[in-house]
Amino acid sequence: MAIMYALKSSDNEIFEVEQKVIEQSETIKKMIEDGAATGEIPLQVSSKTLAKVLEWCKQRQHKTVENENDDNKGKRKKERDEDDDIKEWENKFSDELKADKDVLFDLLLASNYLDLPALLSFLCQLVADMVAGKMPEEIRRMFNIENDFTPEEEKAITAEHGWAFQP
Amino acid sequence: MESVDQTIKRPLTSMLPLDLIIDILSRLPVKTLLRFRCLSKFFRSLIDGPDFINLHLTRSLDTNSNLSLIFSGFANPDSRIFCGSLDSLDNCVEVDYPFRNCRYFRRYDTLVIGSCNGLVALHNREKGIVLLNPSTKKHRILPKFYSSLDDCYAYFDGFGYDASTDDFKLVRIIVFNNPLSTEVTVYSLKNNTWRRIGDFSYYFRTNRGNGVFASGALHWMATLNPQAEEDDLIIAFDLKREEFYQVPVPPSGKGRFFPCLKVLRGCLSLICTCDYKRPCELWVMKEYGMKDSWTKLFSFQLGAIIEGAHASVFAYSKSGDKVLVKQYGDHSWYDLQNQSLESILENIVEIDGKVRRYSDAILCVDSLVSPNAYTRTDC
Repeated sequence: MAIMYALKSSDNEIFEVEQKVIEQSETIKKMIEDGAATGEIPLQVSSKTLAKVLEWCKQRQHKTVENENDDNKGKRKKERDEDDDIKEWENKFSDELKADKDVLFDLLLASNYLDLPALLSFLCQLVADMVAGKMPEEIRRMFNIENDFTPEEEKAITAEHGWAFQP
Repeated sequence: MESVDQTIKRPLTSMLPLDLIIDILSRLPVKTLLRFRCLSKFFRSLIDGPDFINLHLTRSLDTNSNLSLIFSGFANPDSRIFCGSLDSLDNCVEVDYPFRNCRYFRRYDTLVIGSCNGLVALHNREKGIVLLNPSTKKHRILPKFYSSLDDCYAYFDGFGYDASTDDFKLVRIIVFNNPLSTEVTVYSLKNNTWRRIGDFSYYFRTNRGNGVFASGALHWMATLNPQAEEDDLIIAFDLKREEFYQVPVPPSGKGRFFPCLKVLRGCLSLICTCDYKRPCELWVMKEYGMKDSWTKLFSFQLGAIIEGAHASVFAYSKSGDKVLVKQYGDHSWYDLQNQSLESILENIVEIDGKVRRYSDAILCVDSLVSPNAYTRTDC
């Protein structure tokens, strides 16, 4: 029988989760080890974001268990198929996040707070891929960044690497 | 489905902790980072900071990303240099640098000495040496070498980085005939001076390229026996201690011909043939300095074997399952799992709508490292 924990989101929703799944979070793992995780574990994460976090953790957990159960025979082909499945799942997960940047950033903050290195790295790469090759004006709009250069200053900085602004 | 126009609720810098912003930026290509310098004062000072420049470089090297090939040694009529991303080799661009319009004469062509941490060292016998960052297009011309190379029989250069002093160094071994003598000189970018440090007590049987940088040292093939048929020793120059030492060669089987040193993902590598008519072998020293760690990665053969021609190896693919190799002009990806060569690419780039062949290519990581940031201001 798997040990279950109850996670409470900042808007008071309860999520029942297997220990193995939630232990991927170094923050929660430490709470469990310290004996601080009795009853409901209150988290500073909204229910919408926490659901996304758990979606990720369950997928990762699923992958780990399957690899452990594999024998070596025929593993290569199986591994390749699985890799394709995971890629597909990750693409879908990414597309949803790209479509709503507020959810993406909430998830980034949550993965940082819960100390989920794999998810954090995945999300940082996702944001990097989204902004790579874009123009400063587009990025300022996208990320609410204030341009604090005077027009003269901006012109001078742009001119330092003028070629980099060509497509 | 990406909604580019959606703006996030709060400004990015108040929403994400600094270390996450840095993490995201460190995953970007250099060209994007040069653009993002004008986002705001905050972003400019972050991207220009030495800590960020180092982090970005380290991530690129660790993840085998942001890699380019620098092509040189084009025939008539010029000393131009081209650069292409390893991910899309058919899309090369010219790199502007001070010697690009030097006219090509046999004696005055521009040679690539080496590449390290994003800087490429180029040598032109008439004009001297320039350090160039092809990704930022910044360069620095080194002070003229203290003596004329016209008097020497041969010279061997190498370019690398000394982490202990955070300094780039260029090493030149000069060989004189009549009477036979040698001279070893080190240029330090920090001090911006050439300094003679001693002699070289080995012989070069062949001139097979410049020093190869790996594990904080430069490496050449040489020998102790002036009558040897081939260079049979790997001689290293420690850039920190500024001393020569020997590195074990792969376990000896038959003779080795056309030995050529390379570096693959930081590991010293050796390409050789054990017979004139046999395929090339690629050896990699997995643990630096450990003789037993030399591993034969694979053998390969491209086209017909021609005596005397030798092969080269450049890089792992990003996923690490292929290696880019070259022999007799053509280069090709070697698939490590299927143990076969695939997709042979011709060694050509397009210049002004015309296809031209190059003779030399070198791997360079795209970085923000500036050739002008190291020299002390009082120099």
